This record gives sequence, C-alpha cells and structure tokens, in this order.
Amino acid sequence: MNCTDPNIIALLLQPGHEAELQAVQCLMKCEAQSAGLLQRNGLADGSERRSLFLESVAEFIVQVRKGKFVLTGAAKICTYTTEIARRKWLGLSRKTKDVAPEAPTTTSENERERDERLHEALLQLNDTDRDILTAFYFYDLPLDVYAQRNGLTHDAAKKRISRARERLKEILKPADH
Amino acid sequence: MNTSDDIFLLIKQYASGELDEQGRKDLEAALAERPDLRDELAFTQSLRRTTEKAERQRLLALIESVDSSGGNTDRPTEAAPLAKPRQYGWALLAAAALLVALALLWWFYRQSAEPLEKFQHTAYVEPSLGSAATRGGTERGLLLDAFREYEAGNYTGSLALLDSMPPGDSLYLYALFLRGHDHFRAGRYGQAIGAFDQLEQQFGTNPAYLAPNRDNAGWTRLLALLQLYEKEKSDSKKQALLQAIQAFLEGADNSDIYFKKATELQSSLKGD
Repeated sequence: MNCTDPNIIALLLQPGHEAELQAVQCLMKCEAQSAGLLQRNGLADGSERRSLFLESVAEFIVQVRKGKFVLTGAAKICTYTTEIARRKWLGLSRKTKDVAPEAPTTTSENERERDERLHEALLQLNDTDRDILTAFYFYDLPLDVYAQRNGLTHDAAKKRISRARERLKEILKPADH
Repeated sequence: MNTSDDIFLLIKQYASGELDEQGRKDLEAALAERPDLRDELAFTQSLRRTTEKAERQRLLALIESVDSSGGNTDRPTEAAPLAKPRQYGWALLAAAALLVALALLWWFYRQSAEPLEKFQHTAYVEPSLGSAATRGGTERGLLLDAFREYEAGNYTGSLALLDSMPPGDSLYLYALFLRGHDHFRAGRYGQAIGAFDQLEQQFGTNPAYLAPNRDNAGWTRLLALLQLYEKEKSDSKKQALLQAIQAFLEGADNSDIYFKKATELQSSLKGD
C-alpha cells in the first residue's frame, strides 16, 4: 500500500469508501508516534491514548476535507495527527483538573429537538444522499468541485442535492405531524 | 438565484458565511419578510450541525473497525516459521512428532487465548452521552459530573454521583448506561452486567433518539461476560456467553461496529 503523505491526501479527497478505507489504514500507522507523545505528556492509560488517537485521525480527515490541512514539502501527516491528539489531551487534562463549568450551549431546546430528529432521519438516507449532503453542508464543498470529482455536470449535482433534501424531508414528515 | 430550486443554495451560502456584503444584506431583508425563507435557514443550520455529527460518528466507527480488524500494521507481527526438520531417520520422526505437538499446543492456545487477546484490550468502546450532554433534564449537571469522573478514571466517584440520580429523571437511562461502564472499567463485571440488564429492561420507556446507544451497552455487557468466562473457562460460562452473543446479534443494528465485533467474538469462541 502506498502510504506516502501525498497519496493519503489524494485518497481522502477521492470519492468512494474504498479510497477512504485505504487512507485510514495508512493513518493507523501513526499510532505508535501518537502513543509515545501522549505518554511523554503524562497520559498513562493505554486505552485512553488509543481513544484519543482514533479521534485525532477522524479530526485530521475532517480538516483535510475542509481544506484546513494543506500539504507542504515539510508537512508530515503523522506529526500533524499526533499534534491533534496531544492538544486534545492537554485540553482534556486541563478540564479534568479545573472541573470547569459547562460552556453555555448556543442552541435552543427546540433546535436541539429538531437536530435530534434530523440526525435520525439522516441516518435513514441511502449512502449517496447522505454523502452529498455531508459534502455540501458539512465539508462546504463547492458544487462545481463535487460535480467534477463525481463526473457530474453542475446541474446534475444540484439536482442530486435537491433530491436528497426532498427525501430527507419525506422521512421527517411523520414526526412533524 | 430566483427559482425555488436555487434558494437553498443561496441560503446555504449565507449560513456558511460565503455571501458577500451586498448578498448578505439582500438576503437578510428577504428573511425579515418571508417566514418560508426563515424556515429554510433553520433547516439549513440544523442540517449543517447534524451532518457534522453524523459524519464524525461515521468516521470514528470506520477508524475503529479498521483498528479492530487488524489494519494497524504497527502491531507485533507473527512469530517466524519453524525451521525445516532434517531430512533423515529418527530425527525426522522426532521432528514430525514435535511439529504435531506444537501444532496441538498452538491450537489449544488459540482456543483459550484468542478471545482475551483479541477482545480484552482493544474492543471496549468508550460511552458517549450523545444528546444527553446538551439536552434538558433536571439532573443534567449531575450526569455530566459523573461522566467527568468516569473520564478521569475515578469510577467509584462516578458511581457515587450516579447513586443520587432519581429513577424518574429523563436522563436516568444514561445514568444506568454510565453505571454499567463504570463497573466494567472498575473490573466489577457482574455488577456491570446487572446495570446493563436493568438498562435493557427500560429501553422501551424512551424514544430511541433520546436513549443511550443500545448496541454499545449490549456490546460492553458481552465484554463483561467474556471476562467472567476467561476467569473460569467453564463450558457453562462459554455457553452462556455464546447465547448472549446470539441474542445480541438478533437485536443489534447489523450495520454498526458492535455487530461486527460480536460476530468476530462469536467466531473466535467457536474456534472458526
């Protein structure tokens, strides 16, 4: 498997779950580096080190797809992912020590209930619909870029989003009444 | 951008801060007058939050599944193969006998040790409070404090806090869920099973989206049963575990990681 940094980025930006799976398998090779750094930063529990590392891999993938991680000549993906894990740990350990009060939430009760129902509905969509909504609404992928990556015209991509939204609203309907 | 087909594009651009100053002002003026646009904006904002939540959960599940299926190439590799026996006389027979003995030993070792090796340390999945962390509920602060204690490794402290959670509270299911995890992490497997059993009996009292992750609870219960089996290695414990796995598989979501993990555990126990 080609696990060079440029190839990992390329895999993460390709459509399809096979490429994503390969990228994740490559990223898992960073675990030893992450565990070493977390241990040096005082995290003794192995299972917690593992959990933090797994979360950091997820966070790294999100950052790549949101365009927040740009590969330069000096960039090293393992170092970057490991640093995400270290920061998570430092944030957590500070929170644990200070027993900081919960930050006030910015969403209202109604919004939270709506989010819950929408989340449930989203999980009932097929993969294609969920993928395009995620690309558009979460990753903020421009329509043209999505269309290009998936071999679609601009209009076809727009229709695909529109249909996915309609199907989502259909699922939500019974709960709305 | 006047057709209804395009409105959702415009509103999405507004919600994600992609509109220029003039576009933003125009849309805000339209929003003030049209409730349908305000509804669309609320829907878009909700969709942005929920796609994020769903995508992060999906990624984590994918990463965990790669991890548990051996995608991690940093793990210790298998032992080197045995050297070839010498090719003559009694030495050949002795070597063959030795190989058979080693194969039998390996087989017994695999039967007895694999479930522990494979599942004891890597298969546990941390609990998540999910919507309970932000939802209303009289004892939300108590639950969050208990969860913080759990995260800090103070399972006894977490349990002590959970003791004061009244059964009528809307977050009581989460308290039972966390109690099971606290006991499990503290090594009190029998009590962990008891807490998860109690939780299972009460699942029907709340809609699924307001309850903790049922498959996570069921899977952690199986891990607790596995620990008890590993202590005794008795046939009865093994049968009880296999029955519990079968029951879990019949009710679990077959697309989630817990179903996959349980199937692997079942195969390991059966020696497949």
